[in-house]
Amino acid sequence: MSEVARKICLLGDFGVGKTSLVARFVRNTFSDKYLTTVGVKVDSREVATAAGPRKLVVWDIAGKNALDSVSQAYIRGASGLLLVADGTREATLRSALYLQVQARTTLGEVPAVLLVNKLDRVDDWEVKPATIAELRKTLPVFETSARTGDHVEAAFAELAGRLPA
Amino acid sequence: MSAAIPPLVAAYLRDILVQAASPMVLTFGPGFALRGAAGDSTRIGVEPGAAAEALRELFTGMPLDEATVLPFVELPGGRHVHVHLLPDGALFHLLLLDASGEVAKARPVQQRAHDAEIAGHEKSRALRRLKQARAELEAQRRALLEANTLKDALIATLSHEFRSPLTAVFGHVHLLEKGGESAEGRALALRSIRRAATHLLALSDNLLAWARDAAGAGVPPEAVPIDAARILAEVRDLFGGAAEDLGITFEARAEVTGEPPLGDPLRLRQMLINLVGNALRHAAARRIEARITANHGAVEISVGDDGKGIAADAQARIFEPFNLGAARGVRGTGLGLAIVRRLAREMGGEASVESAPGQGATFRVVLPRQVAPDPAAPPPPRPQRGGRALLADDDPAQRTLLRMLLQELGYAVYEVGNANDAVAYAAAHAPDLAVIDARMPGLSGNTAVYRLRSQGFTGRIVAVAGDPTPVAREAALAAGADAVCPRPVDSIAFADAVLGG
Repeated sequence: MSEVARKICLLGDFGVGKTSLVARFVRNTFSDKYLTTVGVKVDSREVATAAGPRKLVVWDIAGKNALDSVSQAYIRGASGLLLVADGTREATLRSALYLQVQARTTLGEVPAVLLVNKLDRVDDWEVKPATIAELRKTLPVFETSARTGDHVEAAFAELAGRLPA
Repeated sequence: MSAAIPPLVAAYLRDILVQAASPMVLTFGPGFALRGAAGDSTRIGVEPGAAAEALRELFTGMPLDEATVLPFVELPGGRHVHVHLLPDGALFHLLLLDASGEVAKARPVQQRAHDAEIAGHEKSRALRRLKQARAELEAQRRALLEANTLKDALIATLSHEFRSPLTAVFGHVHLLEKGGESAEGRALALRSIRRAATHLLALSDNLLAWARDAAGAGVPPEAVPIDAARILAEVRDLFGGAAEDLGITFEARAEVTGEPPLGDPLRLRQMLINLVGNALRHAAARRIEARITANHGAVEISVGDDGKGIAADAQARIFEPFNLGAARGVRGTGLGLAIVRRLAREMGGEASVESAPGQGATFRVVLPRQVAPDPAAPPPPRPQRGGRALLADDDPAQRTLLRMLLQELGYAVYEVGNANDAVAYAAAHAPDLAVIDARMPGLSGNTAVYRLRSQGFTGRIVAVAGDPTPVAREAALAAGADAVCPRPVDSIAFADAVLGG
């Protein structure tokens, strides 16, 4: 096991695109078909950071709007969080932020990056640009598209750069 | 009372359960070194070596000296297992129990629930848009119907209003050309011609005034000293003969207290002409009085008559254009009173009417005191022009056109051909203005607009949209654009969009 491997978890409501984001990040693939995740799927990829190469072990956890005891068990040992929301469903943004608050009870303060996904459907977005501008004051926010790949790499890299050495 | 299960039965039961679970157990030592494997790897579908590698990754960051259960973990190859970590002194065991059967049952149920909720959300959004589109279409339909009604009313009234006086003019000219008329007859013919010409002049003035305003080409009102008596004299010259022919007593009075008021003489004159012309044509009056009252700068114009009066419901609509407020069969273009109200409002005032059936009518225009412009005062602020503009459009020809228009407005223009470059440039240089093609290949213009706003860009954003539908316009505005300019780009509309006009 690599010493620089770090566990990160994707948290977010169902259907926001967590699995698609991982597929884009790890395998550079995308599927239009929505297949719900049951339990958890773990992937990994090495990324370059300012502190050197780092292996990200990515936990893609089934979508929920709150962490139950199973999800709390899943996130144990995580060094960072990717909070994922769907720009076309504003309620998922609230879920992502609530999940971050809940995760603190297990993890304490860990680095987190917010991904507001489905940028390719910006005409359908319910999340207002002013909301994102406001959120940027408290945590890094990336508007992403797993479909086109826009800003996916940057979002993962941002979290990788913020993980403890 | 319960007794302990006999050891033989317990052992038998354990064998059954173990056989049913087909567990796979991997035992690890310090450093996650694989020490042994037991059980059935075929059911899990992963060889012990590959499973060990996946499990090392799975437990990254997690304590290995605490009993842990991780249910429904998807292994490479797609099978699901429940993973149980069991510490055992310096060793630990990872027990893998096949969960594929449970997943096969749970997934379709979960999938249906999620699909239904997402579909419900999409349906709500579609219904909202449909409702909005329907409302917009209905508004457009009403506007078109109204425009068509106005057009029909205008054509009908114009054909009558222009032909009647022209018929009179040609008739009297014909008689004069034939000769043989007495001096009194010639004077009568000339008065009739003059009356018809005056009416035609008023009609054409009103039509031109209305057309100028519709085209947005009106000039702002003046604020110069007004000679009330002179304006009234001009109106009397215009209408005195007609009033006399109709047997109407026409009086005109000016009452000025203090300095001559300031105002726009041409507009005052036009309002009076329209009001007096209206009274002459429609009031069936014996007496009409036009009055200008000025009291220390404030001006009131009134035209009163003792005619048939106006019903209350007609009063509410009488200032609407094209006879919409008039009774059927009433003559006139229906522009005169509408223009009076518009001119009054241009000068900060208002027009009104007081009347009752059978008791005449008094039209009033009340104008506030005007202040002469101070030649020493600084000019009013002009719309901000110039500065640095970002122009994003994938079509070089369109970029060239927009660049030229922006340069005419005084902007230094930086051009990019895609949305990502636009966002990057704006983040680095914070231009005063961003003009973004709403539909660019790849990351769309609306996406660029959204990202500019979400990154705190506060400059003006104009989206240029090839799609003229209200939905497309709403999408651009929702993304954060301040204005949307449709293609093909009209230079005036573009300047308005850029300058916020």
